[in-house]
Amino acid sequence: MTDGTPLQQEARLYILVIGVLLWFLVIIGRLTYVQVLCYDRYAKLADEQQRSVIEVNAKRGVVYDRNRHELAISTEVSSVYANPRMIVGEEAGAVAEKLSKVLALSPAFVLRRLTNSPTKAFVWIKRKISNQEAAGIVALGIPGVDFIKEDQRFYPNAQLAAHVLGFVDTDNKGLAGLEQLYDADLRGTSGVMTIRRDAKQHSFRTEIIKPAITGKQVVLSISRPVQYAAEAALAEVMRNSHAIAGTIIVMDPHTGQVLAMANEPTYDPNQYQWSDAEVRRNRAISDAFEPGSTFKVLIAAAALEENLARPEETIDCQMGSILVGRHRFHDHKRFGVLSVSDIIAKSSDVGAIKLGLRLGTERLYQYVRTFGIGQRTGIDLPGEHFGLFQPPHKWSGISIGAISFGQEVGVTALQMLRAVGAIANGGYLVKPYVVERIEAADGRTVYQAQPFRTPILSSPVAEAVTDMMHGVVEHGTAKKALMQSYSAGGKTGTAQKIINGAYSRNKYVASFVGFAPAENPAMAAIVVLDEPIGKYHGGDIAAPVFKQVSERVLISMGVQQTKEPILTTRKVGKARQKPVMRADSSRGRLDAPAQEVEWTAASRSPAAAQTKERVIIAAKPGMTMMPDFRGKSLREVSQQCNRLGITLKPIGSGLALAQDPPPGSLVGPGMQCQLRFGIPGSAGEAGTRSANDRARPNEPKPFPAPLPKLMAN
Amino acid sequence: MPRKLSPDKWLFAVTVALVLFGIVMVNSASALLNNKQLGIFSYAFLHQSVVALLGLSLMWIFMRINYRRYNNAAVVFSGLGLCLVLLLLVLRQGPSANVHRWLQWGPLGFQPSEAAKLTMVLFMAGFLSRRGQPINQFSRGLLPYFLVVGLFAWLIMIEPDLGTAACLLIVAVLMLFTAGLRWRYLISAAAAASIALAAVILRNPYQLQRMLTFFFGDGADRLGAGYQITQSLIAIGSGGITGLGLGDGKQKLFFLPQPHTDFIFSVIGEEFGLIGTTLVSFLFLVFFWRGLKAAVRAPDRFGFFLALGLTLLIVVQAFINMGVVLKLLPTKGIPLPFVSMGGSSIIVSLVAVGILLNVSQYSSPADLRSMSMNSSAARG
Repeated sequence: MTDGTPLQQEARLYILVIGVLLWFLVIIGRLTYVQVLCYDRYAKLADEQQRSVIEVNAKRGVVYDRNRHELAISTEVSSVYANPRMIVGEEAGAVAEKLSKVLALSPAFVLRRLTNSPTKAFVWIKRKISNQEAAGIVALGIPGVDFIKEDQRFYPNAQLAAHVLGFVDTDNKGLAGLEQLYDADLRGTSGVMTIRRDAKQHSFRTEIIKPAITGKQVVLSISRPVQYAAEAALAEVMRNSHAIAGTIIVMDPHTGQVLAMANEPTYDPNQYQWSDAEVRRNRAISDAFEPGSTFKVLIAAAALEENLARPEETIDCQMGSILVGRHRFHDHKRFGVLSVSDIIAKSSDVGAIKLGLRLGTERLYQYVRTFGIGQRTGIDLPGEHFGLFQPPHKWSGISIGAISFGQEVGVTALQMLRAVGAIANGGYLVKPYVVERIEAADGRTVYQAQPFRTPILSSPVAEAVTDMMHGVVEHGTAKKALMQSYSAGGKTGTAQKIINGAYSRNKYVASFVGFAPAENPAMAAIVVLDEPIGKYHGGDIAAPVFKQVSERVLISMGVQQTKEPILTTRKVGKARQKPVMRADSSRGRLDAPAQEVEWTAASRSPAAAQTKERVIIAAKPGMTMMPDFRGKSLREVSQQCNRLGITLKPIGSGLALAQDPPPGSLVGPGMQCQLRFGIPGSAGEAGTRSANDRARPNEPKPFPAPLPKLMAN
Repeated sequence: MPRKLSPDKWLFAVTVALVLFGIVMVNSASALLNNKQLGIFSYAFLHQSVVALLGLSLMWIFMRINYRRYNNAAVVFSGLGLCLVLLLLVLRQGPSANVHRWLQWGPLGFQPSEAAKLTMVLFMAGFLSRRGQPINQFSRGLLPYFLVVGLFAWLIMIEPDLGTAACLLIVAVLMLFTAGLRWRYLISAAAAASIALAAVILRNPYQLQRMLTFFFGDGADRLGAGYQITQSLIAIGSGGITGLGLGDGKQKLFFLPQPHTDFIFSVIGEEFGLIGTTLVSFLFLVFFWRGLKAAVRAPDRFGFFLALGLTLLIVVQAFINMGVVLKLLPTKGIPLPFVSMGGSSIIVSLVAVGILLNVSQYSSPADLRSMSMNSSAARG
């Protein structure tokens, strides 16, 4: 029998059963091994591939000027990353080739990125790319190459207030200016997000574990138009004087609010990496210089405070020569007998030295220290310099003479401005600041700056020195600071620079520090020019800049003119007379709430707006900023247009409702302005006055009907 | 002649349980993969439900047909011929995903290889039960099996569907083995099979790659050819003992290559853990035990070999599938019987169970030994 026997079959059946049972046990054993013994490993692998933990950067807070104009904002841009695990082998070369073409990178660089860490699931290829580049990447459609939205800091006004604002790096970390100092506030709190991923690495399901908290908003005391005026004026004088550097600071002397801080050379914080560190330094607070003659006012104030001199008291200036210790100081002119006022007005070194000698070493030192010289002002910006002011035990025999007219002492522009501000404001040393308010993302105020001031001079002394400084502008060395409509006080300075340990004969620091109106200063400003060529006297080149800036600032602040325009017949009263401030502009001072300040007035009733001064700030030589005509009558508008040289094209009648170009844009003589007139409160007008007018009075407004664009004739 | 006409309740229960569990798992595994959603049910769920209903109905019908009817040369050979024609036809069909497995007829698809498995078991049971079939004589005994099984296996292999072909071969060899085929034939057949396998693998590079990946891949190349099996292990392993819960598996979301078909056991592992996988394996073991019992108790040799072959058809396929997803065997695309989503595979499996249930109806209380006695008595 060749067939299997029954017994054999039975045995075979047992073998079959045993075989199947064995295989079953192998499977159960394997299941136990995989699911119990290797559980941790596989659970981890599963979690790793399914989930990615991504830090969600918080949106960086906006920086506003005092009137809520955006100075630094955050926009979303795309960044390209790759998942090297998904780009394997030869693929990488081709991918690198394609990516490098679209992103303008070298293929070798991209290839290195892709291949250097093959186990990683995430490498940046290029961050913060343009829209065109992003479109190009999308068109390529390479698996394993994707985008992440990132926050990009953007400074819409380019270099405006660059040194105050500072800048941020690619990771949005503040590296300079208030971006650095207030980094913790602006940065916000980053959140954590997990993304469950599928095998194709497309984001599948996102889960926010911890939400990101948007950074706080910072509202500055800086005023965009004032800053603009300062920068434009500085740029102009830099061109004309060929100075290597320059600084203008405008401050409210009563509160210490910095309205503008401009430095030259400057840079665009949007592209900070293309500028030198030298250019990015905030010279206004980081660079100390010998102030020269501007320092004399501090000596005079000290002498007056100590009753060692009176303004009208005469002092023999010894025909321009005085011996201190073993050194003979020579004056720039051979002055005879001068009153203390005239010592300041004509800037006599000998006179100042005599005042200094009356004070003596100890009191001189104490007073100068009291004015904040040789100390940080405490402004809320990084990189402030102490200045240089030695204690008396380090002085030489001639130091008391040198210091009296501003040598052997180093000040920052801000220190000098603050010291003079203490004279202008009636005797109080203020703490300057740029951050007025910090608000949480929901608008809640978390910090409000409180003006901090220390009395250092008695008010009659401050007033007396203010008068002396008024004299400097009226009939002294700073006649070029004399404004048509406002009185002003100030002091010029022309300091020789120390080159290789000796005073240079051709390198100067020209400066002017002053305030206006002289009687009740609404602003104080300092202009410093380093190594001007040609005219180098502070009174010749710095004073006119002060005049140029102050005039615009005061007009824009709505400060009542203290002098009648030249064309009027009425005689200007004595300058001692207190100015009459307009009631609704809070006495014209900048510590008034922002909406009280003139250029936001359009948001209020047309009638109120009508009574206000308009912003007229020169943007470039020959160019001016378009005034806000809305709410004005045709007659008022045409008068103003005549002054600016703008051709007016009125449409309709009544009060001005809409204008093209919009308020704040640059206009020049010969340009046309379209104006739509109507009855305020009618349908057309309703559209133009909305709640956000308050926040952005100078922004273009939607027109009720399209108007032809501005045309240059 | 039958002592009682009641099919094996265990076999029936296990089959229905696995089919129902399959519907649930297919819904879970494909829920997020398919965009066609109808409420909480996926398109795959509806498809599977309809197929299961059809399959269970057919099972019921085949359960009522006396299995001896298949012990008929006309039935067997017309079945063989039909399957041969279909297997040849499918090769002429346009490839779908580079393979020729389905015969498309409008929206309906059919895999002739599934029918071929069933027909082969019928043929072998019939031949093995012939009295005096000398299977240990090559030309008279073994050659018919060799020709039929070899031809079917080869045609399925070139589809290519190596998994089904291997399954078919293993079932045939196990049936021959139980019938008492000499070891030396088995060994030489194994050698021949290895050579054939080697030839096929060398002609199809993707098979070779799968093999190499299986034997040498360490899972580090997670996105390469070893990807599927690594993902399967991650799914099963991350399920732990209790699993993540029905519907909470994450691996089916694009990580697992065929979560609702060939890798459904991985999804079970992920969502039900060791408890679920052990339970499913155990159900197939129960199926094997009850199927074998039906075979042993069958009143005749045809019934014995038929029940044995049908049981092996299901159990071998199930245990190969589990071996594959657990990385005990090279990656072969075969579904888990009853559970994986499929059309022909489920219907054919349920028809097989229907026939098996019919055999079980005729069971005598005899044990293994008595079965042998009966058959020898019948022969004598």
